[in-house]
Amino acid sequence: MTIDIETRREIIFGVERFARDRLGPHVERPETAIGRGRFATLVADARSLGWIAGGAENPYALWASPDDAASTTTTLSALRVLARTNAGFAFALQMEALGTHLLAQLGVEPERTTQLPLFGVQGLGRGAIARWLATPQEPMRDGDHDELCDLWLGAEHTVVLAAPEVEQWLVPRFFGGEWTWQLASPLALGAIRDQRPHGLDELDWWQLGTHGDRGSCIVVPAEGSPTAATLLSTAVAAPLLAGVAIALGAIERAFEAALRYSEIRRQGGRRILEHPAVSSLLARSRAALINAEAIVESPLALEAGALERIVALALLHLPALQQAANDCLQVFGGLGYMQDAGLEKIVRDVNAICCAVAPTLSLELMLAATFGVDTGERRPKE
Amino acid sequence: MKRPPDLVEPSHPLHPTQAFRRLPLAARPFVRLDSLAVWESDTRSLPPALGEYRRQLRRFAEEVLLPRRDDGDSNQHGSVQSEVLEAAARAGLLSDLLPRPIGTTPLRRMRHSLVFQQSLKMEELCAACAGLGLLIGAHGLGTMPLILSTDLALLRRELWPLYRANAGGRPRLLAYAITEPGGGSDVEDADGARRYKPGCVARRVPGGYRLNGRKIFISGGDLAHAVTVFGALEGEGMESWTCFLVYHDAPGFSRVRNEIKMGQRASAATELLFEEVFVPDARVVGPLRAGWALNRATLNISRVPVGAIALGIARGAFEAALGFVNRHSLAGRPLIHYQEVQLRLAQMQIDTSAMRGLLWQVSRSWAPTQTQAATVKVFCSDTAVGVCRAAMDLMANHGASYAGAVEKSYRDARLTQIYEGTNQINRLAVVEDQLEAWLALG
Ligand SMILES: Cc1cc2nc3c(=O)[nH]c(=O)nc-3n(C[C@H](O)[C@H](O)[C@H](O)COP(=O)(O)OP(=O)(O)OC[C@H]3O[C@@H](n4cnc5c(N)ncnc54)[C@H](O)[C@@H]3O)c2cc1C
Repeated sequence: MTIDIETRREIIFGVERFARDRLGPHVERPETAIGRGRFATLVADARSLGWIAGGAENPYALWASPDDAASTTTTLSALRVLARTNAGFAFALQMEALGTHLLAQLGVEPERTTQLPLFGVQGLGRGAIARWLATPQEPMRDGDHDELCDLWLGAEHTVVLAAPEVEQWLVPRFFGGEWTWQLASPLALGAIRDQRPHGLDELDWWQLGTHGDRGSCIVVPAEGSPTAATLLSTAVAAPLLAGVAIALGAIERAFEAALRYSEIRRQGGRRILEHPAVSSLLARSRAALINAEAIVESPLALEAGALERIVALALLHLPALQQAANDCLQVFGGLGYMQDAGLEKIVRDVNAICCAVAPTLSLELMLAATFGVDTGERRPKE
Repeated sequence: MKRPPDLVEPSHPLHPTQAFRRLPLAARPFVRLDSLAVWESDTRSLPPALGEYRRQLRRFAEEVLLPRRDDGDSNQHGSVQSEVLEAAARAGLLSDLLPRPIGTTPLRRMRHSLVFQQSLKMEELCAACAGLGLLIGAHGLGTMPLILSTDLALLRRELWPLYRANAGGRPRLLAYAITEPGGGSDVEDADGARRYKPGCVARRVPGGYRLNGRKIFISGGDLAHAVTVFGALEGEGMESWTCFLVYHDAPGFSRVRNEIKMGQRASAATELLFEEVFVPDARVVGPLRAGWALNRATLNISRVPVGAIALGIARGAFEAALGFVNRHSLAGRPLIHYQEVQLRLAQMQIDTSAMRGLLWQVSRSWAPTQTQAATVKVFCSDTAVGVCRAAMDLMANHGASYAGAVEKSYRDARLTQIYEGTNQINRLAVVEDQLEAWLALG
């Protein structure tokens, strides 16, 4: 399913209105996290607007058709708009929308709210997953099998980023030589909530230890669903793009604030904007924003073969956006370091996004794996 | 911990430490047969008095600061702060800018510059917790104008009683107050100061001055027993800046609020209000109108330990990341067995060593130049933020989790790019100091 320009415009207009009228009043003080009860209500509002719906029939849903360029771009634009107001909210919606979409692709009508949370160890998964996705039919490199087994729910100890109050997690798991999709809940897994995460304060960061009962997971029957490779590449690639879009939106807000501040704050006998030291901070941020915008707003489908490009984009843009957030904070001097100004929260949020979706270490290995010469011993896939 | 099987064992004949043994004895002075951890080899390279001091500091940091790190970070005004300060006072860390018997520094350590001593101190304290480190270190900053005044009568009258109390385990802290709502960079940079209309002003009255104005973001201002505060003389500009010593119980002095900060949270940044505060002549620090000189001289000294704060934070992040990659595994192999992880660790180690190399080189001087001080501050703070970011990246989601400790390091490190003059202003300090030389070379 694709969407035309008119529908896209209408969707983005609706999201902008929501961000301004519904979300905005709760983040008038950008430095404070939205309270949990309020957050849940806002997410419920977004659901009732049809933004979270599997099945691809609803063009208004986020991640309605990741394999369609126009639909993906619309999702990313919507996330960007929401993140300008609150990055955590945008992130929560994207995780739930993606989980719901994937569940629908697996042919399951969701009875409970579902999300695709982000597992830290996915980031430490080296190139195995990219290699598997590039050549799913070929024998696996020695070691890749074990690495795949350790991803997502297979990890011994991990930290999981999830939206609050969503009933179940949908998680891929490599086991016995093949991929399955499993439904889990953090409490049944024995996860413990981190009370003081670095950023994305609105969301839950769960510590998952070995003591957790992985047996509580329910395997989703996957007959007749798209191939494991298609679903997996969406599960890997979509958060990367979403991360760029959400960081972009969050930093747009930081940039506007920094620009405004630099126009009124006077030091050195003039407005600080007029000092090249400050204007170059702003210019660097602006360059990062414009470059990231070019990605988020240009058509890009999550089809097979797109992973290399998406990983490369994330590898380039996320660190640049992280720096941009810092440059905006620096424009505020000491005030930027204080909670009141709201800038430090944006820096923390963007850092948290980078940790959760795209540690550069693993992006480099993933990217290399998409084109790398593989000298490891091979053994047949089971 | 098992070694990565694909790397050469130290006992292997091709490992350098084995291979070197086959060199002629005469060549031995040129090679090392041991491979010590960097901290140990750096410590051994120090003069004995400083090496011993560094070991003491590390013990103190690990025994006193580290166990209180999390509480300090979550509660600016808990019992943790007083416990740490009392322990620091007893350990002589709050009275160490002067030698015994007035201060607590042994004479043999006084052969080495104060800057070096303070830098060693701040690295060790901040490797454990930069917030608690700042709680202790900001007192040194507040004390510097008194020391630099070299006014023996003032030192005996004002500093000695504070030092005596500190050495006896009863913390009496000093805070340093230059920043005003209208002037942050302008009170750090001559070009800005030339154009700045001072917000804190002292009016002459019989027997002293009446001080009016507001200072913001003052580290340790909440607990300070006294403040070295800078103000202009009424009707004059920044050239008249003068340093005054104001005690916490002076009528008209109040603490307006404490900021909620991104990091280094165990130490408060406080807004101070001065309303008709009477300062007797005897509490004018240094000559009248010498405030700007005292301020710039203080900054040239203190920016080096700020570099050390950054270094300590980076080292703390590195050590936390090291613990993580030793504890966690992927595909049955500890993360430290993977080359990309080893390379990341190596780069973090290289970065912290480069910081320390520059820092120690500059620290040897009793009077670092403005260029040296700013260079250390900018290089170490920028590098430290990079190291912390690399540590977070290495640990992925664990990096963003409080339990991973490196997220705190990042929050703490970010401040070092801002205080004691933003890094932009510190670069301008290099320009100010070097411009004549650059022009002459052109
Ligand atoms: C946690 C914390 C603790 C602190 N502790 C103390 C303390 O103990 N005592 C104390 O006195 N102060 C303290 N400070 C203040 C600190 O030194 C100042 O925040 C810092 O010098 C920057 O000043 P500002 O915040 O007013 O920023 P501003 O001066 O307003 O700077 C805003 C931006 O403009 C840029 N800028 C300003 N002027 C120029 C110029 N002339 N040319 C080029 N660029 C320029 C700056 O680089 C910055 O990017 C502390 C600050 C913080 C955040």
